[in-house]
Amino acid sequence: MEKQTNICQEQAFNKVYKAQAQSLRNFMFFKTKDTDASYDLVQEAFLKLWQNCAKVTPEKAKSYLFTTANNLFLNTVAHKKVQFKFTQGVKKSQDNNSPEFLLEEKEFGQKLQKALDSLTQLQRTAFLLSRVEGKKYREIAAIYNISEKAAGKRVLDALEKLRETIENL
Amino acid sequence: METKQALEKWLNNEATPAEMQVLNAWPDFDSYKKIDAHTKRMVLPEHDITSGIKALRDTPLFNKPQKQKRPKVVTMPMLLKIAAIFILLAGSTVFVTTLPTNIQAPIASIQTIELPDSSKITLKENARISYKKYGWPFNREVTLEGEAYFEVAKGNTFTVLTPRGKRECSWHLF
Repeated sequence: MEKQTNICQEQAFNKVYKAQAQSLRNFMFFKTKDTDASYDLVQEAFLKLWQNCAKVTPEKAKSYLFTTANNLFLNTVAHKKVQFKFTQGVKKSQDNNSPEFLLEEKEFGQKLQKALDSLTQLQRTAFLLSRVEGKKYREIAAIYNISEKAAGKRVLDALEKLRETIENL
Repeated sequence: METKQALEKWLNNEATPAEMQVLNAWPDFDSYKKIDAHTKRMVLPEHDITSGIKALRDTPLFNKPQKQKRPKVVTMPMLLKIAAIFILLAGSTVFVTTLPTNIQAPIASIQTIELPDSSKITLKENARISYKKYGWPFNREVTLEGEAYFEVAKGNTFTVLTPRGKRECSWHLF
């Protein structure tokens, strides 16, 4: 008696959705720099997963989603030029709240946005996966099918490039 | 170099206390920390799970029955299978029998060939003939290029096709 868990069952599918939607959304947001486009890509990737539910085991679902979303992204929005815009949360302020400090912070934030925008798609995504999502090099490597070392280098290169860009702005 | 390595480890939250000391002593580290702190404050678009699932369910493509689709196997009735085998066999036999046999005499020598009805053809050097070995009883045709000597068995007629014309013969030496 073999109990086969299958994503074709609604419950199993919903479970995968709950577990992966947000991180997939972030991944796509880093890539597209666009809130709406990232939403569409996530939904499309899940639709593809549903259509191929018989072929994808629950363990493979995550990597299937990321690969599919990545391919969808490459097919559709790779050529679109979007300005990276994101809101920055306000730092929990217990310290310095002087207007000069706030202004300086704001300026730095804008520079950072521009710098992130100028990174290549791969560098930006790897960097943000590491920094914002707190993903380890190992996990980033798994998404891109590259070695852990290469993932680490990508993140480090991105950081150095960011600093360079910000200083020159 | 050492600092770079430490920085890479720090980005992966794996820097050892010793490495942290190296980094903290490094004047550039502050600007990296600043970039890191600011980046971490990025507000991500929140993906609403419930409405996301609902939206998915509302797409027409989603509702097509996709459940455990099995690969389609084309089945044939037994009789059809047997018939197909025979048709294949018959087809290949016809194909093989209609293939002409080609013979070319080697340069500077002659060659004698015996046809299925025991007629004999002697090819002069570099002459070439082709005939259909298996269809012989029905199709007595020999295509000839060059010069040859025919020794036709009694009572048999066959056609010789040459580039210059067609020739029928009964028993003959020519």
